[in-house]
Amino acid sequence: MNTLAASQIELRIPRRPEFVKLARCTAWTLAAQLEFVVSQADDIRLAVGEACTNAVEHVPADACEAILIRFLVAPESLTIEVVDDGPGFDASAPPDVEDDIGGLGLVIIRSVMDDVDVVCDPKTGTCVRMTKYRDRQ
Amino acid sequence: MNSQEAARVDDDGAEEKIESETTETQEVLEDQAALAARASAADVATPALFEEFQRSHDPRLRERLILAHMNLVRYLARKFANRGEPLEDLIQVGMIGLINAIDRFDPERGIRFATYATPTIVGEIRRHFRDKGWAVKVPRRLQELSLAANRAVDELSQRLDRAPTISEIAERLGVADEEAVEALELSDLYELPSLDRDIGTDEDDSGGALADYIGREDVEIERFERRNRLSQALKSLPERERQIIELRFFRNLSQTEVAKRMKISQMHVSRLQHRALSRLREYIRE
Repeated sequence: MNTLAASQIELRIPRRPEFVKLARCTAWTLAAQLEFVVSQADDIRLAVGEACTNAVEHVPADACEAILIRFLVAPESLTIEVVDDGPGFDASAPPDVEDDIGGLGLVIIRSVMDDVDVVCDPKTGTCVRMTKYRDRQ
Repeated sequence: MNSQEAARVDDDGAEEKIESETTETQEVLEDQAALAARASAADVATPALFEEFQRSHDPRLRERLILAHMNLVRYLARKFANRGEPLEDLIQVGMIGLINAIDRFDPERGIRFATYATPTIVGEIRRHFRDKGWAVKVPRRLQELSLAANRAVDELSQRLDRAPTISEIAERLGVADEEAVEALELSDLYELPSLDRDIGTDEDDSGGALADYIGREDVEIERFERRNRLSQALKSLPERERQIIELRFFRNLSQTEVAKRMKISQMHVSRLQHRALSRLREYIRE
């Protein structure tokens, strides 16, 4: 549908709350550019914000300095991976969704995105992978 | 009911304004942290309540459960603020999700209630956006905001004798920074139809042209009506009961505070609240 299809975009932000907004704005703008309807772009922005906030809040402060946000553009979908990629991440302590209301991020993401997977790997960190399909509203 | 009305209800000017909370992301983040702390405290006390409610279906227990989880509804509704629907309305539809979740929740399944209820509440809120016609490619409100943003750039540039910042534009438009960015980007990202043109004649192929949406009689409309029933119900409540619901649920005051404000006893507030909630529930279940 346009030249962005099949491209991959990466954004690396410091793991601090003030940068979450940048990830949110980037996600929204990309989704809009890909001609998702605005409400879908809003959902994508919310999900990316929640995933980054999770990464900011639920990982020990000295574990890693960056969050990697990877946008995978396909003709009919947009997949986003939010990875905190620092060394020393303890995979036995995944983000605890049962923790408290703030830990509801993943539940919220599942409520607004079409496919959601969480992969915890001690080497690569925690990856929240989520997909939005253009034709599902 | 809207926040202006809610503001009129209160008689001491020291109250915070509900709508101003939604505009600053930073404030929202801080508020959320506070809400989170309070809500999880409320949640701890509720498993026993749920078990009791499952046995007895006592409406008073349902009420307590609703109250204990209103913070969850507010927390989730705020995630959808700045999308063009008033926060109050989002809280209202979220409340329908909450009530449904309370009725269906089985404490023995071992899921925490907040985890169980979130998809239901979020689902109602998102459906509200669809019902209100936001599923079109670029909602009209956003088109208008986009025009206003571009006008604001021109005006501010002239006045300041330099290009304005995003914050200055956002302030001028009365929206959050993110929304201002969105509005400015919009005209580049989407080919916006002229506002003079009927949005229904747009070649938008998403099946969501506004005129279609309004003209079609189908299940969506029925659902829409079901959800609108709550706001109708709120409007139809006797004035005092409506005030109590507003002060208790939307402004988060305690029964004692409401009693003081309305110059009636706390017991009386309790009775009126009970009656009001029963009425509302009837409306939703009809």
